[in-house]
Amino acid sequence: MIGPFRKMTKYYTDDMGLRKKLTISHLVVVIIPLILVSIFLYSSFYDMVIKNMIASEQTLSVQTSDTLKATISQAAYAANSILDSQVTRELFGEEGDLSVVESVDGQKIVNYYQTILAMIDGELITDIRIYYDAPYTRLSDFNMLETPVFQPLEKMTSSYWYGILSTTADSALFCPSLYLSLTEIRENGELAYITRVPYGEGKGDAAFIAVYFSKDKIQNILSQNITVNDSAAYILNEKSTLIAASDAALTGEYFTELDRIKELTQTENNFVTAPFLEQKLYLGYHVIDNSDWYMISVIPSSTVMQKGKVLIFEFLGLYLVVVILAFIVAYRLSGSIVKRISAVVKQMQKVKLNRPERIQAVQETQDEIGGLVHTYNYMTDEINTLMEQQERTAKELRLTEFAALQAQINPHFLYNSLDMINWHTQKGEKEEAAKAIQALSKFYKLTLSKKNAAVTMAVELEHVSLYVELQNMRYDDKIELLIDIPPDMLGCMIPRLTFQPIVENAILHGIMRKPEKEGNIVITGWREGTDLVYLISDDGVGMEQEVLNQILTGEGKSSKGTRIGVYNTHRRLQLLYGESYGLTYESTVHQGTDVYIRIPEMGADYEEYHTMESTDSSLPGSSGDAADNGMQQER
Amino acid sequence: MGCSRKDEGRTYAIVTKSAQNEYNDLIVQGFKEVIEEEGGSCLVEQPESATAESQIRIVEELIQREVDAIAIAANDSDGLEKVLAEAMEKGIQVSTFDSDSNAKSRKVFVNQALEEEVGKVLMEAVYDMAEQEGQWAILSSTSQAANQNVWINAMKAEVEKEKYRDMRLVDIVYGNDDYEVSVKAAEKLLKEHPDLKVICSPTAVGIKAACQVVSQAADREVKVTGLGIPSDIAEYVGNQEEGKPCPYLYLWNPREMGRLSAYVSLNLVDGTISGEVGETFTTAHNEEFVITQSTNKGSQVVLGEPLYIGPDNIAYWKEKL
Repeated sequence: MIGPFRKMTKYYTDDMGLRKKLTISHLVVVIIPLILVSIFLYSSFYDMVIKNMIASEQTLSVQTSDTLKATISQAAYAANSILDSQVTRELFGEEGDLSVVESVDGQKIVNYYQTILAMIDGELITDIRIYYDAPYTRLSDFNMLETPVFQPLEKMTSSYWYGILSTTADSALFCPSLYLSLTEIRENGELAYITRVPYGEGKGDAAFIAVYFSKDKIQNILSQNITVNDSAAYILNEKSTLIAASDAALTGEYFTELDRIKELTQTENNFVTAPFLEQKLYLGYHVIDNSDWYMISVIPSSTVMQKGKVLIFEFLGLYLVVVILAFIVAYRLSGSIVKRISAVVKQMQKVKLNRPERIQAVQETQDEIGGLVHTYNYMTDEINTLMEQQERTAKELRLTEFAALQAQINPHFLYNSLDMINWHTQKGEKEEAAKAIQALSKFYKLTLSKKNAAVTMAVELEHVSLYVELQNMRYDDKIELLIDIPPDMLGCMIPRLTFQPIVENAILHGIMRKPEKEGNIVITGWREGTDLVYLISDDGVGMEQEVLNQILTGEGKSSKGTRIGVYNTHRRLQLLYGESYGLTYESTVHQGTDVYIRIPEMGADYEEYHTMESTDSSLPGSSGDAADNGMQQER
Repeated sequence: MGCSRKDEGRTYAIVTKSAQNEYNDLIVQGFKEVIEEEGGSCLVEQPESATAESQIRIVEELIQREVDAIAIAANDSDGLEKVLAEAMEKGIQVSTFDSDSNAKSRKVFVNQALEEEVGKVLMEAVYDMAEQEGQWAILSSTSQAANQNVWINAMKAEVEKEKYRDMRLVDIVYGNDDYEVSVKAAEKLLKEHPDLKVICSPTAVGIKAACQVVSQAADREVKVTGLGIPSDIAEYVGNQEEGKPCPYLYLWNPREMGRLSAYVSLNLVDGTISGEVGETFTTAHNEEFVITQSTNKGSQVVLGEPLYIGPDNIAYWKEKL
C-alpha cells in the first residue's frame, strides 16, 4: 500500500516534469479545499434545499389560506349584511305576522331586492336566494324573472343543508356541493354560505339566506398555491368532504382524510412526510378562519428532491467549471515558469555539442529565472574567456617552444662547434675532436628530443653542462660552471631548455664581454614553500638598468638573438605556471648578473599543453629515471 | 361471437375496490368464470384498502406484466386518470365496472343499473320506511367512492320531488367499507340523531353494520335499507315486529355484473367493440348488449334494473348471492 504511494511521491518530487508538477500542485491546492467543503456541506446542503422549499411552501400556504379566508368571507359578509339589514329585521322580525309583511313598504322591498341583486357579481358570488317560510309568500311578487331571489323554503326542506341546519344549532353553514341539491348546483352555484334568519329565540326559522359562490374561483386560488410540479392543494371540511381541488386527478391520487392529516402533522402549517407509492408526500394543513374548512397542501417528495438534485447538479457544474478554470490557470502559470527554465536547460544542453552560448532572452526578467539566465550568461562569458585564454596560451606556448627549439638550432653555435671540431681535427687532436663530437651529439640529442616537455633537473643540468663544455672547447676553457643543487631536487621537473638560453646569455653577454673573456657561472637551487627556485649567477659585465628593464619584456635590440631566447624562456614559464613564476634578473654592472628561475614544484600541468608523450626510457629525464647524485662540475 | 375464442395466452385482469368484501368476491366469481370459459387467464387483484393509491400501485404492476385487459371498480373517479391513461397508451383495454372513473380513463363502463333508477328505488324505500316524513341518514363507504357519490346524487335528484318535502337528510357518514369503522359510524348516527328514522346504506358492508347496530339498539326504532348481499343480510331482513331492522333492500346480481364485465373485456381485446356509443356485442348466452352514453359523457353498458330483495324472496336470493 505504502510502496506504490511512496513511488508516486518520489516520481512527483524528483522526476516529474516541472510543468506537470506545477499544474498538479495548483490543482491540488484548488481541488482539495473544494472537495472538503463540498463533503462537509453536502448533507447540510441537501437538507437546506428541502427545508427551504418546505419553508417557502409554508409561507405560500399561509398566503393562500388567507386569500381563501378573505374570499369566502365575502360570501359570508354578503349574507350577513343582508341578515343585518333593516329590511330583513323588519320583514322577518316576528312570527308569521302577515300584517307585518303587508305593512312593509313595497318600495323598501324593491330596494332590498336591488341591493341583493347588486351583490351578485357573477365572478365570486354567483347567486343569492332567500328561502322564506310559509307566511312570506308575498315576497315572491318582487322577483324579477332572471333572478328569483325569494323562494319558498318548502322547496329546500329535503336538501341536506336544510337537514343539517334544522337539526343543529349552527347559525350558518359553509356548504360544499354535497350539501346542495342538484338544482342549486346547476342553477345557483356549486358552493354556498347559508345563514338562518330566526324568528326569535328558539322560535324557528323565518328564512334562510343562501349566498352561492363559485367553485372555480376557489380552485383558481388553490392553483396559485402550486409552485412545485405534481403538487396539489385541496379543501376539506370538518367531515372530510372534498370541497374544491387544484387538480382533480392529483387530488384523487393523494387524497388523505383530515383526521389522518391532523394526526400526522400534529399542528397547523407543519409539513410532514407520508409514504405514497414509491415516494413520500409532504402534507400540511391550514385552517381557513371563520369556517370549518381546511386547506391541505400535498407536495411529492420526488419533485422536491428533483429540485434539490437540480440545484446540486448546478453546484457540481459550477464546481466543474471552477476546476477547469483552475486547471487552465495552473497550466498557463506553470507554463510561463517552465518555458523559460526549459529554454535555459536546452541552451545548456548545447554545450555537449558546441561551445557555450549566451541565452538571448527576449526581455530581462527580475525573478530567479532571470537571475539564472543572467548568471548563466556571465558563466558562459567566463568560460568562453577562459577557453580563449587557454587557447591563446597554448598557441603561444607552442610558438615559444618552437621558437626555443628554433633557437636551439641556432646555426652559429653549430657552425662554431663544427669549426672547433674541424680545427681540432686539422691539428690532429683526435681525442679532442672525438670528445667534442660526442658532446655535440649528446647535446643535440637532448635538445632535439621529441620526448617529454619537462625533464628532471638532472637532465637539464646535463644539457646545460654539455653546452658549457662545448663553449669551453671553443673558448679555451675560459668558463667555469659550478652546480650546487641539493640532491633531493635533482628529481624535480623543469621544462626543457630553460637553463641553456640563460647560460648562453650569461656567457655571450656577460662573461665574453669582459676583457679577459673568462668567468664563472654558478647554478644553485633551493625550495621556497611549494616553489623551486634556481639561481644562475655569472660574474660577467652585468647589465645596465635599461637593459634589465627590457630583457624580460622582449623589447629592445638584441645583437646576438639570445635576448629573445631569454624572453622566450621567461614567457614560457609564465604561460605554464602563471605570472608569478618565471625569470627574475638582478645585475650589477661590472660585477655580474643573477638570474632567478622560479617554478612550482608540481610541474605536471606542463604535460597538458603537449600532445606528444614520451615513453622512451633510454633518455635521461624520461619518466622513471632516477636523479643523479651530487654536485656536478663542468669544465 | 359467443363461442370459444382463441384466447390462450391472453390475460384479463380484474381489480376490485377492496379486499374482504363479499360483494366484490361475487363479481370476481362471475368474471373469472367467463374468462376461463373462453380460454383466457384471469388475474384477480384486490387492494388492501379502498384508496386510489393502492389501486394505482396495482395498475402499475399490471402494466408491467403487460396484461391484455384491465377491468376496475374505481375508488376515485379522477385519481386513477393518470395510471389508467398510461395503461391504455400501452395497448391495454381498460373498462370499469360497479364504480366508474371519469370518461377519459376507460373505454366503457359496466353499469349495474341506471343511477337514476338506483336513486329512485332507494329514495322511495327510505320514504316508505320513514312513513313519508322524518329524519334519515346515509351510511356510505368513502367520500371519494365514485359509485357512492353517483347514487347519492341520484337520491338527491329524486328527493327534490315535492312528495319528499318532509324528509330531512340529517347526515352522511363514511364507514370506508370497513366493518368496524362502519359500525362506529352507525353508532354515531344513532347517538347524534335521536330522531333518526331510516339509515340508507348503499354499500354491502355498511348496510350490514347498520343492521347490526340497529338491532342491538333495543330502544330505537330505526329502519335500514340500501344495497346489500342477500346471503349476508338475510338475518336482518324482515318485519319490525320480528325485530328485523331491514324491511327490504335492493341489489342486482354482482356475479352477472362480473360476467358482463368479462365479456366487455373480451370484446374489447378482440376488437368487436371499441367503447363507442351504439356498438353492440353478444354474450355466450346470446344476450345482446348495446353501448349507451353514461352520465359522465362517456359510454356504458347497463346490466339491468335494481333488484328488490325483501322477505318474500330473500330465501331464494340468499342461496344465489
